[in-house]
Amino acid sequence: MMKLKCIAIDDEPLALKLISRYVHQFPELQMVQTFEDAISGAEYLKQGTTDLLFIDINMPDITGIDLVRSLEKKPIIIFITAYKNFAYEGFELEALDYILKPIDAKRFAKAVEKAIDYYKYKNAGPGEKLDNSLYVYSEYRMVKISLDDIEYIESMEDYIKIHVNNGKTILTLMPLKKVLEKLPVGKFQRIHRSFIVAVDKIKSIHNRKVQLADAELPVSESYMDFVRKWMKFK
Amino acid sequence: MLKVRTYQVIIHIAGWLLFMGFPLLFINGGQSDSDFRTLLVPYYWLFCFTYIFLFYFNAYLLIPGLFLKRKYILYGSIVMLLFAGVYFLQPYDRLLKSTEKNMGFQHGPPARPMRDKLLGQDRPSLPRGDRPMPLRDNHDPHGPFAPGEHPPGDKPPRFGPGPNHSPMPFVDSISLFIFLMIVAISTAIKIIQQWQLTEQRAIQAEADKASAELSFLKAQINPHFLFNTLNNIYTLAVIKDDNAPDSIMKLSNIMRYVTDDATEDFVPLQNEIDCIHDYIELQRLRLGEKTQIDIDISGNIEHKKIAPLILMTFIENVFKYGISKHTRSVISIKIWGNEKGISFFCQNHIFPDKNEKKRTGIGLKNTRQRLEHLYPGKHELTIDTENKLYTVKLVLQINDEA
Repeated sequence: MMKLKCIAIDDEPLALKLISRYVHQFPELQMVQTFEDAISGAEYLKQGTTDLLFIDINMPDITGIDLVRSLEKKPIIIFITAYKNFAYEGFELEALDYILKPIDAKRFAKAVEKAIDYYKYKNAGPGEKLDNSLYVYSEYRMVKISLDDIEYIESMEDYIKIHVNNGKTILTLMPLKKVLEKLPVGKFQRIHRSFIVAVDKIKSIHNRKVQLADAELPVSESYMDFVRKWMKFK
Repeated sequence: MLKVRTYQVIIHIAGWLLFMGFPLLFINGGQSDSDFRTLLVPYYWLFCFTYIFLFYFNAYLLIPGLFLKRKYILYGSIVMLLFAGVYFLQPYDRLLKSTEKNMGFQHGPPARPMRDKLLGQDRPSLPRGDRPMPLRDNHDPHGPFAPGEHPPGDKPPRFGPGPNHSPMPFVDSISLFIFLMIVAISTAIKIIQQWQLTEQRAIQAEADKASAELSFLKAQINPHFLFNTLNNIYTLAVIKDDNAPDSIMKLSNIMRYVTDDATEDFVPLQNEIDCIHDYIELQRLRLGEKTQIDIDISGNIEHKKIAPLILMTFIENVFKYGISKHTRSVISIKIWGNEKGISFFCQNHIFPDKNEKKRTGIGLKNTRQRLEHLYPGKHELTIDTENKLYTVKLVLQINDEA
């Protein structure tokens, strides 16, 4: 059975005690070491053997943000902080989650489950992406999106906007081309410079317009092959 | 501020131009050609500058120097002296005579003084002797007067219906009247300004105090400290450590002190020291073996009162900036009480600032302001950063409470 190697860095000894206790409850996790001294923690991380890092932000010698920024090979990161004022800086660091102190057991479990999911997803071979989810960073944390929920994806300059079936959208920094690579072939189709559509969600195609549940998207000339194929199969 | 100042200067200049314009208007009756000639008369300038001088001398020397310092008798005497000075100088009368003389030369026949015109009398319309008030005509035969002289029979214009050669000495009552007016106006202006200033200062002091209190409350209930401590207590509870109830009490005491006592102006020194103790005990939960805390509280601390959270601010800073988990360090805190007051000392190692921009010094600035406000001339605060040590020494002169 796989075990995620975890370390925790926090200047508060009691916080480390609590994190260790929580981690112990997950058979998938293994707490390798905890560090009150962030500098020793950073030193240890250079080995690159860590899968999951729990780290405080406001620490005496170096902030958690600066520490993570300095890492060449980043493990999965969960920030644990007493005060929310650093969330924005953490955004660019692509943290999986933020947990506020006092650390609630349920909230911690949720973050850990997400980390385990993400770990499996990242480490699965090309053919075994059974997870059927897409992971993107949005609004300061990693968001898991079920592929079945996606209606279409819209490109907005450097960002993409993922439209899911309940009318919600998720904005993330990623080029449209890159997200297409992450999606299973055949289930999603690019139909325009700015659009990727979930093939299952297409209601009809008419006059170079793809009709979805609550959107109509244009099809550009270069993707007309797809339309012809779709017409033939239906 | 600069704007207000400019505005004031403009008002003053406008006021004086108006003042200087009156003699021109009245003496010459608005004849523009003679206005300029009046400007050439030295007595015109004597007249103007006498009063301008009196105005500012009163407003900027006598009022702030004597009147507002309650030296009323000296003030009264000096005003009387000035009054006497004006009595002898007779700036208005001299101006009047010299313009008459001046105009007399210009117009040949005896000059018609302005008072004729002031009284609505036109020279040609009435023969000389028939005028109801024998005004200046009786001076004509005397010709122009030498400066400093005044004719024995001269009388103030409006008081002049009596016999021309009265035994009473001449009184230039217009000059004296203007004198009294100038002194009254400048006194009134200065005193109103003083009132406004006092009022403003009181409001400012009140606002300073409120803002100091507010930022102290904000700074003191430091969310970082609060939530970390709550997390520590939570952990103690989860691991069923016996220190949990005790820590809750300590946090509760701090919160009560900050929210209740800190709204008072002065609290017993013992309360502040209790708060410091609780704070340090809670900090010990967070500190590892790398930090050593030396605390020494001695001497007479009973019966003393202190402004709340002054010492706490320095203590909090020590723990905010003087902690490292990597390097060993010592924190020293000393508080002594004696018959003169309180001495406070704290020292911590300065660790290279991990987050330079966060350290704004607002807390320190605020504390300085509060000390100025609450212990004017009774405190001595020295902060130095030599040898990588941040050292705060504060001496407060406090009398024991009965």
